Amino acid sequence: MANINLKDRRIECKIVYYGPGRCGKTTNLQHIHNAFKKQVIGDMISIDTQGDRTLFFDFLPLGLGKIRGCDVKIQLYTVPGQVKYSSTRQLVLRGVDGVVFVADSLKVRREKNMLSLRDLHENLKKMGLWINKIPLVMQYNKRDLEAEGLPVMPVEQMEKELNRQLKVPSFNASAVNGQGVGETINACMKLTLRDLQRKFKWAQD
Amino acid sequence: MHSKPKLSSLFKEAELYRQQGLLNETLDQYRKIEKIIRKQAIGKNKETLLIKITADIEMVEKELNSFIESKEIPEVSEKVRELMRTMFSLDDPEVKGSSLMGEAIALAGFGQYEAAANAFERLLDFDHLRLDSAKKMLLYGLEFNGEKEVLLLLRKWETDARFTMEEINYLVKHLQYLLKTEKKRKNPDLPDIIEPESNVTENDLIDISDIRLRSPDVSGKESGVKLTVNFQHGIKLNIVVPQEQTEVAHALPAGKLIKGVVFSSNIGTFSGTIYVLLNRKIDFGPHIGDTSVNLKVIDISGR
Ligand SMILES: Nc1nc2c(ncn2[C@@H]2O[C@H](COP(=O)(O)OP(=O)(O)OP(=O)(O)O)[C@@H](O)[C@H]2O)c(=O)[nH]1
Ligand SMILES: [Mg+2]
Repeated sequence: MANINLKDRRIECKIVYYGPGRCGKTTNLQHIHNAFKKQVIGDMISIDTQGDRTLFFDFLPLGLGKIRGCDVKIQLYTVPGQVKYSSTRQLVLRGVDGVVFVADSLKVRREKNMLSLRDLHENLKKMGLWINKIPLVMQYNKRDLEAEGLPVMPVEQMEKELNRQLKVPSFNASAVNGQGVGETINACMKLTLRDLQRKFKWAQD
Repeated sequence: MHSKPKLSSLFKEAELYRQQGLLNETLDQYRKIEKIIRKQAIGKNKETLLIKITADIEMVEKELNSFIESKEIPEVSEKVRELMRTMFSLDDPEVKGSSLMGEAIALAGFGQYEAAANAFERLLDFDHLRLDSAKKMLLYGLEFNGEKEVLLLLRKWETDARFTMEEINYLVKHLQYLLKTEKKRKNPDLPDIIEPESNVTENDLIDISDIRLRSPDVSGKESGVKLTVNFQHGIKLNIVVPQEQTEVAHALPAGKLIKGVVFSSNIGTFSGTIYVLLNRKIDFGPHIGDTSVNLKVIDISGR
């Protein structure tokens, strides 16, 4: 849950990157860490990985400076995508204000995307949150692999299978090259802050 | 007829999956290549290729096994534990001892059970937190160490002067409740929120008498399992999996997409894809103990 201090005009909120194993969540955070130096206000913490699979979470704190009279800080987290780390995903999700769902464009990962989205839905529900109410954006990652000759799903198919009911903003990305990473997080931050404004009326006119 | 895919591009695909850390997909791809080599290659080249592909398969299998064998949740260093505690504890400064409680819950959530149990144990000293801590110890103890260990814990508390008789009785009841919900949790009925759309229109579909699943994780055999269609409504099918075939029922969890399914009808056989809508154990009537599975036909083509 966002930490909002209206007296000191400070907001701290939490955005979580969710998605199946190996879809590129950690890569997104790494790119943000390297490319948005001005906003990064602390070390990126990646706790214990196995190979480069996340076992617990990654963490990156951002500071956006003053927005409409408020000092805004955002904490970015990733969950471990592997199915077996379900309880860790629930913990990392606790107090979430906005979600980026990273889907893997590779055809062979089609089913994994769907299962992970369902898992997000279930875990949010356990906390009394609804996937169609929470600020959420989709990212269709690894678009670059099409040029490598790998079977990649057309964006229209991914839209249909993952976003038909949710109808949230979606972005093509290639996180290894940084393409689409900024657009994705910007959209999610915007939705999240707007949602918090609706709930807490923090902004000054 | 589609043209034969080039081996080199198939190898490249496998290599790319591997770079992505998608080991299962790499293995599938290598197996596919192996089959093609066995079928198509000839002469000395065939031998060389087979040796290469066998080595590739072995290597990926080894890598996969090392992941499976590695301890599921490693114990982490004190420094990392500190991070988990501070970042995830539900700190409520109004209640004395409660920040320790939040830390302990966070540690348990990250699978650091030993450290969490130590913290809960210390909380048993506080009158207003004793029951809550004990309940958490039962909950996480059950998850990490199993029923036996938890029963021992209760036995120990019976002779622990900190607990009153009422508290013990309450905890015994609570454990019974936990055991019941644990069973339920292991067989959940998941709702189908992201059901894929079907490419088949309701009226296009012929009457299907049975389906055959070829996927090796269903039967392990190439021939597959035949399942009789119990009921068909448009593109939705219902089958009843007898209790003797539990492994088949388990291989059909709700939300699974299954390719390469063979449909039989009175005008011939077709192959296609199905999506599992629901998988539910039947608990009354003549089919009690069997599993009812609802399927949706996603696509279908001639053979
Ligand atoms: N080609 C390509 N590879 C990518 C892209 N994004 C990530 N990868 C690669 O995919 C692999 C997995 O990326 P990660 O960022 O570790 O994935 P993750 O989602 O954090 O995975 P878990 O921690 O296991 O849940 C790495 O080898 C990345 O280099 C992309 O856009 N294009
Ligand atoms: Mg990761």
